[in-house]
Amino acid sequence: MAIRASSSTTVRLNFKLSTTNLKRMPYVSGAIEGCMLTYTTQGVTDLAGIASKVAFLCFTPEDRSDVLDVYTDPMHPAGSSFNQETGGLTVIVGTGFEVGLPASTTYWLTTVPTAADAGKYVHLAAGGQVKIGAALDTSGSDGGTTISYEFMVGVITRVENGVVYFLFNSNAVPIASLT
Amino acid sequence: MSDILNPNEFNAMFASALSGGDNALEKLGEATGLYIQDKLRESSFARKILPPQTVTASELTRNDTDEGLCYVDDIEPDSIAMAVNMRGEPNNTYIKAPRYKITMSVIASERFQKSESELRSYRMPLTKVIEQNTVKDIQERVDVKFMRAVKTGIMLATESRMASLVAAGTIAAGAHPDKFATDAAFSSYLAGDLGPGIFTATTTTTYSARQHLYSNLILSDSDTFDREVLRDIVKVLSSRQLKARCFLVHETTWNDVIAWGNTEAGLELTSEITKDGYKYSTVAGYTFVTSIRDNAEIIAPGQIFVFPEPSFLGRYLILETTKFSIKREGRFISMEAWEEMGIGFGNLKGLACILLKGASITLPANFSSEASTKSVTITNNVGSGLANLVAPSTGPAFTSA
Repeated sequence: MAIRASSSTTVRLNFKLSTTNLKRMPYVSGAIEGCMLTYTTQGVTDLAGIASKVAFLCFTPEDRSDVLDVYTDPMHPAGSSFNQETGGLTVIVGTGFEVGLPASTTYWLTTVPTAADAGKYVHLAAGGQVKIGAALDTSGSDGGTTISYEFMVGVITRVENGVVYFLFNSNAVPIASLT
Repeated sequence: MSDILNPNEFNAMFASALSGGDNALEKLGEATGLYIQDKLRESSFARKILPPQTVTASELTRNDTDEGLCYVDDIEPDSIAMAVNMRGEPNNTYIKAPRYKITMSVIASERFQKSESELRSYRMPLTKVIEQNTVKDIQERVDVKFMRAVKTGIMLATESRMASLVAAGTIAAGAHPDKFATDAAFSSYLAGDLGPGIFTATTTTTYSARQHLYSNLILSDSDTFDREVLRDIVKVLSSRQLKARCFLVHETTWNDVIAWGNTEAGLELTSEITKDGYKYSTVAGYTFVTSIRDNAEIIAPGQIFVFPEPSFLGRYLILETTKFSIKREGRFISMEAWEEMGIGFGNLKGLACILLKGASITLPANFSSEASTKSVTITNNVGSGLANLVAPSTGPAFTSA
């Protein structure tokens, strides 16, 4: 008999999988389930960063054998080992559906959930992580003042049971950053 | 043409299935799955080198770290015999049999869609439509996966060979007994004088006729494919106590056979080749497989790979069968094919490759002096005065460990 334990995936989905736009991306090191991924200009997978314009939410743990498999010489185990890509990564293309990420610094740059309130923005951070942004800062936009931008991929809807839920869009929207 | 599915019958079956409901579409999907499997058998070269075997879920093992399935295969244990006198007894030894794991993963074609009206306008058999959109996709992906495993295996086998020669005292250990120290050390191991200084950094370009004793990747002294090239590469397996069974070559390289003269082929065969081309299925007793694919991830011109019997190589597993699904939503029909499969090599010693002059290959590399795994491109520049090895590529061809 199976032992009863938490059985949710890291990325919580509030919609039918059949309506989700899932796509395959080639593997990149560090792509854990729940991180944000993007493409380089050469079309290679990369962890999304603060300047990325497009982001996809990784839906597959990188250590699954149908993502990546370690290849060694069974007759010479002391030699090298290489990872062979088997099925690659599965990512969610954000089209406004609600997703949830655990309130953990594994996925979030800033400390959550204290900073996460409904209506706040989810910005891309470095290394595939995301961070919380406040409401849009509209002051200083006139008179030639330079405003730096960050890229938003979602709006928080709620924080429940240690999971931050937000409406996720893959096309990152530039938004004035906090000063 | 496949015996399983007659194109005209399929077209008729398809037309009636479109108005027959889900059950009819499911039956059509099953028949098409068999057709695709049949076509894959004809066209994928991986299946000719390592014939697939069908397994059921009960033969597979569940992974304990994820929700995947794998097949655990045994490797026969080594043992030695000895002569004893009438009072003597042989040595006691506790044997162990290593195992290796073959991971199952899915290879799927794209899900392609068509409206019923457009499908009705096709004059060619719908089996051709399916073949062009699913069979070729799956076959290409399987062959890429197979060749990645082969190229990784060649690097691992060369490392293992070096380690066994170090253990036997035949060569010096260098910086690490199990791995090459640097890319230059690997380069010097492939070609040049193989003596005590083989792990020193050197850009040597001398052809060595004894490479097969040291490496599973060897460099040829020739820029065209001939029997001497084949002789050199099969020696790799012979020196590993294996017998070569077949070789894989790009069609461009195979075309060198057209120019074989009397010295390569003999008068009678030369006149046959001149008239009708090479019509036999073997060369020097070894069967050959050619690929016309223009995909360097699979095979590039100038690379010749050799393989032993499947029982000395590994397994290619397919879970149950190749599957095909047809779905209808309103006027639109979508189709996709997939198979759950795994390829694994238990004995890497039998994987070998020879590069003709000017040809190159990219292999994964894990040098002991480097912090991360890379890939290296080896180019055969024997005799040209250039180094045989190019610096590790900027974009890894293989995933980092």
